[in-house]
Amino acid sequence: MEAAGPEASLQHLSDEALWLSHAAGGDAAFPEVRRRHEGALFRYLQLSLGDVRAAAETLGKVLRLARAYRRPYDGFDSLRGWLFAVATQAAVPAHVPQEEGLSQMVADLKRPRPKAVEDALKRALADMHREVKQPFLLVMVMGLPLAEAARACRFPVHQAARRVLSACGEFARLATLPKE
Amino acid sequence: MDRRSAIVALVRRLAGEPDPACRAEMDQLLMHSARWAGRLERYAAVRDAVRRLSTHDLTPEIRKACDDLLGSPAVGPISEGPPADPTPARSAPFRLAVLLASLAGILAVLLACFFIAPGDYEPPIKLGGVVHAMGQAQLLPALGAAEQAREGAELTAGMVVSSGRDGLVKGGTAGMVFRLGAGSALRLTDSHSADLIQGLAAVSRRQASDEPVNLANNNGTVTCAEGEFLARATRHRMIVRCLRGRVQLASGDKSIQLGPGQQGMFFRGEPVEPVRTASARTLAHWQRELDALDSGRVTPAELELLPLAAGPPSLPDGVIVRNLAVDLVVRGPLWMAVLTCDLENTGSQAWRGRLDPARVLWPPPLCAAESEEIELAPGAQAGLSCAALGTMAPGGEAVLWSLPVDGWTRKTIEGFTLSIEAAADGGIKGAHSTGLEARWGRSGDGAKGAISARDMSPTVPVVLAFRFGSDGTDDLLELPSPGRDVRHVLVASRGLVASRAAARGTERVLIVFDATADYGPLDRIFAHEIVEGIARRLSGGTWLGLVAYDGQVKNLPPARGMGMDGLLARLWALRGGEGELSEEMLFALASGPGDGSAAAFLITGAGPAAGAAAAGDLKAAPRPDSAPHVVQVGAPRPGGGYRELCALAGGACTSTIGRLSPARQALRLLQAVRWPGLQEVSYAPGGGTVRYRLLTGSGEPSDRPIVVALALEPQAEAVTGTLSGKAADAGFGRDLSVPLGEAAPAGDDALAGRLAAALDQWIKAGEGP
Repeated sequence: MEAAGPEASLQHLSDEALWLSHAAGGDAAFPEVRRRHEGALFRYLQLSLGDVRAAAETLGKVLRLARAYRRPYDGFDSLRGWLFAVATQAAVPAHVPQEEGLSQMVADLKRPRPKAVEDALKRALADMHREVKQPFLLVMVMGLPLAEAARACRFPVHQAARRVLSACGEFARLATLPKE
Repeated sequence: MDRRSAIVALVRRLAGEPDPACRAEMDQLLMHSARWAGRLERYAAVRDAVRRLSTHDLTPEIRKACDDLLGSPAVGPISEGPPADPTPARSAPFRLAVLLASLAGILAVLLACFFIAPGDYEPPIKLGGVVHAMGQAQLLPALGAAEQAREGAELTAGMVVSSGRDGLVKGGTAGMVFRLGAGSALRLTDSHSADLIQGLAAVSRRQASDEPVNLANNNGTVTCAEGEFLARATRHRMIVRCLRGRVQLASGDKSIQLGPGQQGMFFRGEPVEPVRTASARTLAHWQRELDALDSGRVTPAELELLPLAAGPPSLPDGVIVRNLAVDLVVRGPLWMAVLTCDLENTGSQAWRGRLDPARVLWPPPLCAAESEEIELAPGAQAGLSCAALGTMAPGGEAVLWSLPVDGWTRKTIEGFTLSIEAAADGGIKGAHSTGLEARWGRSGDGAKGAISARDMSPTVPVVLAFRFGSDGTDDLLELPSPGRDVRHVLVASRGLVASRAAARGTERVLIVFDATADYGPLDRIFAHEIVEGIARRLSGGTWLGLVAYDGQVKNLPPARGMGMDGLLARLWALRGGEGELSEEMLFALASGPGDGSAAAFLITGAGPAAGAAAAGDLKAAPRPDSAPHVVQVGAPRPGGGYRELCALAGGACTSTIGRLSPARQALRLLQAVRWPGLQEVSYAPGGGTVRYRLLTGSGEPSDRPIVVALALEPQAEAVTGTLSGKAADAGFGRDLSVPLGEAAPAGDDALAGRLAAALDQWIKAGEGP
């Protein structure tokens, strides 16, 4: 019987083992890391940035940074948590201010009213401050442990938890208004 | 269970995360508190609803874009078949409905035109136009749909100009010029008045206008009869900083006056006293937010507000600074200032000395180094440039890490030292760190940035991305994160501009374009861009000209004298000729017109016959002392004949199927001519307990600074070693080693300087005679 290729053998490795191989200079491991995590990262970036194109660009940036980083992901319990941390940092363009106030109102005037709960949620997500949005997405949607999410966002755990609940509160208020 | 623990436990429960420590207590709380139980129920519903939100799948196109960004072939499974057509299929009834709706729309417009009298609709008053726009900038007219803001778009009365969250807009009316930063919105009232709805704007009055400019919002009105000012508005306040001229802040019967460098504020509808002096840092920061449109150039007025050295500039009598320009590029808390100026000796005596232009602008001890020696005859001019990389310290003051002419400074940031030596001559355009950007946040109406050990998390990589040249690609330099492993990082960067400039003095380059070759559609574009890329990188003195061949040699004038597009159009117009490479062309290739030192590039197609024939002929060319370089556009690898020829004559031979862009290909070709560069770097510690990490910025060493980083362990005491690497020399590598010198303590300021000096020495040795 023909032996399986190196890709097949990599599929059986844990994330940790894969990353060790990558950190040691192996080039074969990163494609497998990417295969495993890029889908979830892309979804997170879409929800976080509210824009598919920006999410795709940021995903490319995250992958590039991750590939260049050939060291252990010390301080994180999982590679997944570390990758989300990199994505969180990359998704916050520091020079871009958070939109608020009247310009947002002007933009709102041009937008159609939301018709469904999903639209309302997406709209609220887009408008939500990223300090609240990112911990919420990481914990509630991407399933990261609270401590990992807090590290990714660089908040203390209790602060991250408070922000998650704050986002939940906002959504809960909103979700009661429009009906499916 | 206290409230804080309860919140954490609730979130963990919502997320389905096991929490054995608090499980029992949380159960108790939920059992006895209806409020907490209700929260859990409501928030669980929210969680499920958000989890169900649809997002786009990661399509092969997006993966491909990521691959392009990674700059390498596919690093993962990409294709699961052809990409789906994104256009949804429509049924026949749907198409019919669309057709009917379109007809109804046309009918409605026609009826409107017929029934509405012409006088009923007044077209909006045109006030001016958009000068530049970028990002998601939009124009929202008083009537009608929003449109993307584009250069030349019309500005009308009542229109809201919104820059969007990543946009910048520069516009002008008959009475004023304005720039809007990201996330800003401005409503134009007339040619002299506007409302700043939100965000940051720089406004100046046009010289030709007699009327003062009024900028209002719900807090008050700013009037500027002469000069320029910056304003940032939020719902409850508007802060105004005067750059030049005079500005009046008025609301109701209260008003205050601002002079240059002063700032004032409206708060809840009233101007606030006393007037304060604006800090240079804030001004510079605001300015940088608006800078993308003007290449980050600081105006002379703003320059006056920068923290200049005390006392007059240390220039000798008679020597004056002309055309001073400071380009600021900001990436998060890191900023890069590139300063260029011309010095002119207006005196009657020749002046010879050293001058660091940065010393004139920034206070010591940040600029301890001097530049190269300058000699200026009476009436003569000389250009100077330098760059500085800095950051915003936790205290809010700008901290200059180093002035990179020759000297070093080192700043300690909460126990972590980062020393950077970046040569100005390498064309570093900017630097940013993903890890650091995150801490560049906004607070209230202002912005604050901080860099500290806390920000540099040991778990998130600190990566500086250096951007070189104009091709917009970043080179990543990974800096080891601070922590238990690393206490000191030394970064040295050196460019090779000096050697290039020296080479340009003697180098003469001729481009020979083979118009008879067989180019595919993409090859055609590639060949076009390579010719353009080479020509753009040659100085006027180097550029001999362009020779095109379509059966006979045709000399075209140097590109500097005419537009490159026109020149290339002429090149392609020569297409269609028949024939083989003539002797004239071979002569031109082999020698250049009358100058034995000339190098010639042959840009040709992939045809093997042409390659073999040309190579055979070229080998027999009368003057084999010069170096012909051959580019075969569209060939998978250079033809055998060409390879032999180039090896014989010391030229470079390349094909263009590969990962390099045409611009980089052109650059690589030029490098191969006479400008070797270091291709590899390694560092062998020769003493002490030193851990090292070296990265070169790029595989394009000759045109980019070489960046070397050494990460030293906390216990590293005596640091010494040898820098070794391979230098490219006309296609052949040479091993070079340069010792760092005597052992020095890891935290020694001089160590970084020695690293840079070793790098200089290494580059010098690598360039050879």
